Amino acid sequence: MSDPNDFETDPIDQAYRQAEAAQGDEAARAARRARLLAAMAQAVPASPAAPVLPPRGRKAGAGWLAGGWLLAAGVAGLSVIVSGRLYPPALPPPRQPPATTRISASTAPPVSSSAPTAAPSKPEAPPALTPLTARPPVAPVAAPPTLRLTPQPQAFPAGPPRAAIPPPMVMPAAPEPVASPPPPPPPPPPPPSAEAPLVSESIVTAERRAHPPSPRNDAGIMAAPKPLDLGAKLRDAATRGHVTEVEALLNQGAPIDEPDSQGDTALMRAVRAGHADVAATLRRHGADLDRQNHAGESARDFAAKRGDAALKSVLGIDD
Amino acid sequence: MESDPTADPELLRAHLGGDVQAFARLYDRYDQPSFVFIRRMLGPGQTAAAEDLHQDTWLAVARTAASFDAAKAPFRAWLFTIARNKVWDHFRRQKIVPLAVDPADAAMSIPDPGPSPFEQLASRELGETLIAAVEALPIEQRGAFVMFAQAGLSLEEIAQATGVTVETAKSRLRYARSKLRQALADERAAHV
Repeated sequence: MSDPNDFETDPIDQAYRQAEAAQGDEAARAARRARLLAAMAQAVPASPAAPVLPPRGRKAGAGWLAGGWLLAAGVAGLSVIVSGRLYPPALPPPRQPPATTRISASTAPPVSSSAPTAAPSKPEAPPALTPLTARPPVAPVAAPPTLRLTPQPQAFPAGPPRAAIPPPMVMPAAPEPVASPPPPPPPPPPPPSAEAPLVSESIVTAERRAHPPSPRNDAGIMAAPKPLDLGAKLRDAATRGHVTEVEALLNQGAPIDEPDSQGDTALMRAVRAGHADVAATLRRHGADLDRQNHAGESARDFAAKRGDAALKSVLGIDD
Repeated sequence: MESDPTADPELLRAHLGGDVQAFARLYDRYDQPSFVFIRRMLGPGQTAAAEDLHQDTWLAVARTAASFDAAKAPFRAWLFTIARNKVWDHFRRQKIVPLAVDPADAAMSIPDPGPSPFEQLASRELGETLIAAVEALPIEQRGAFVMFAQAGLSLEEIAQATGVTVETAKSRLRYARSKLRQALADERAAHV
């Protein structure tokens, strides 16, 4: 058995910690904390002792948003009237745009004095209040990020020694270094190819996953294609519960989610046969838990049917 | 990170009993390491996605707290298991498949340059180089290294979180360190 501490003195670990610490952004951290609590108030059923957000914040997402926009429109209209009186028509109009933008930025439903200053401290963070699944449909309306920050102070008790949520205005000029690409439209998830060899080395597309490239020899010439039964071998090994064989086949480039004639993948077979270790290995390598066979069943369904707690545990399936 | 003497499982139990403060304390303990883990697993330019997955991870912790069994694994191993699953789910949704194995691993024999001048790592450039090198590691080595170096998980906990043996976790860590040293040595050589 190995000693878990025998690695602890390596300087590279410390160097890495320092490097990460140098990148630390307290404002972003505080904002993250606040967002989580706001999201918890929505997603996790409130417990008796928990301070609850205002009721309308819970389930009435759309109505709440609509109310917010109505309020925004009202305030904007008022501001137009007021500014029209303050600045007679003779005045140059360029003052208008800043006034409206500022209002629209700060009139997201819960208007609070801290909201406008919190936004710049984390320019790149997308509105992350709701879980991923809920976000896409809401996207077009694009509620400003300030929307989430308001209810949090009371929902999330200030962390022990940390100075509560630091006033974001203190660090407006410290965006995360990685976050620099602000205006370009949402870039496609990972850079698909070339420029950055370090990145492209570590990811491949699903297409390539399904059809692994033929190996090249030292001269870069395509070698003779491998027999195309790696997928079948993988499924067989998974059915038989041979972890090492499964691992070896995956390392050889076996297509992990290739289905058989029934649409069953290696993961489905492993789960059906109750081989938790094989299922865990496949899952670790990225096997799809929700892919369906021709009968419309997925590995997740099979695991649920078996009711095997160990199996569900390694697959990360919540009850 | 550990100045709060209350054990993680106790805090989780308190959370189940409705103690928001307890959950906040637990979150404060592991917020940073779990976020760094997710962020590095996703790689460069994915900070926004990392924020989302980090939030999803903690929401899952809050929701499934009742299923946590301290007898099976420590809290942080459980937490990183959830975080890791979230990352893999994200890869799947995005149709990204991180290469699980570095082809060079098998034949890898990079001499260990030893603990050379890491003191000089105060320079920001070198720190960024190191982080970039971490993000370039094969996914499993990267995960093991970040869990160990940043989150302070033991080899056993890493093994639990990733479903491998302790020896495998150890080997991943060793490879990761070796490559990082090499990357730093290359960087230094380029500037000499």
